[in-house]
Amino acid sequence: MAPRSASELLFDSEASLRLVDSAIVELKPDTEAPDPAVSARLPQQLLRAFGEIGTILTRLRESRGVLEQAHMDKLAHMHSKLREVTSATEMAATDILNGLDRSIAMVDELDQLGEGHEPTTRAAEVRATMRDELFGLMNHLQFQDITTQQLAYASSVILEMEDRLSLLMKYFSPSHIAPEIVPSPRPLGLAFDPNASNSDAHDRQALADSLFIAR
Amino acid sequence: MKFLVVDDSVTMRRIIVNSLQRIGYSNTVEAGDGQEALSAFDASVGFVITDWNMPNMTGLEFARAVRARGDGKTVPILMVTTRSMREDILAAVEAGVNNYILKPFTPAVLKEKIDQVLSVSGEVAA
Repeated sequence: MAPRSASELLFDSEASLRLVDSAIVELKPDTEAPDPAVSARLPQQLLRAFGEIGTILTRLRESRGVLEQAHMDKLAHMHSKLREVTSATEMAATDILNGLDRSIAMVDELDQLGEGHEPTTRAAEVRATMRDELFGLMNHLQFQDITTQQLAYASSVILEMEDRLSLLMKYFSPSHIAPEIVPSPRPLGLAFDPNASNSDAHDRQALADSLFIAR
Repeated sequence: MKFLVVDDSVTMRRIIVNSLQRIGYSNTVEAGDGQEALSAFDASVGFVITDWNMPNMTGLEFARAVRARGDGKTVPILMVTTRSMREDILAAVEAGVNNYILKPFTPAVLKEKIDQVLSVSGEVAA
């Protein structure tokens, strides 16, 4: 039998629940004298409801399998990829900072080598401009901190989704039937701003300035 | 003047320390979170630059802890953070932060804010 998607299974489960609901409505106690015809049908209706509940449980357990597959494979993979990207950007930023530090030191050295000689204005200007450029590049690396916070937020959303799915799966299958779900490793010391952004820095700074001036 | 630079991002600490050197402040100490910063804080620290979102102890908690100390009541505290919600900024004001910079910032903004804080506290800017 071809595996069915979670949405198909959930649709079937919903249809079954509706049938159970209608059976329960039929079973609802009447305030007037009991209808002998309804009373006679009661055992049949109970059997029907029982059968539907059994079907729901089977479908929910099938859904659990589909959800578990998504949970274990895709969410865990996505989480690990985000951690990999965070780590890669951090290493790259450190390498770039090291390179920029070395470059600035070389420009400083060029300044010192020029001492005692007749300095040309143009050479001094180029060195100053180069130092400014290198320093500006260093400053642009702030993106790494902001991106790390954005990735940490995305990662926390995935972990939360994983927790909720785990809860849902436990609900679908009692623990003595379902295998224990091993949660993804939790990052230590995750600190981030969910609204961290590289954009609109000027406007955001203006708001902070206005609130500090107003205090 | 000794600057205490607090940020859990090594990249950010390096950028801030480099910016400080460039505007004439080369005496710096660094800390990776509020707890570490509180251990490093003493009367020799003349200026604090802190991030907000950090593990163990946030910048906001650190600012409150500094203000609660006898030797930390008047030290200038500049917060450099991504947190730009109105209520966050007001919380920083309440915690005793003297000024606030949103990331990403330029060295010119850093210098401007340091000068503003020092001029209010009566110190001479570099």
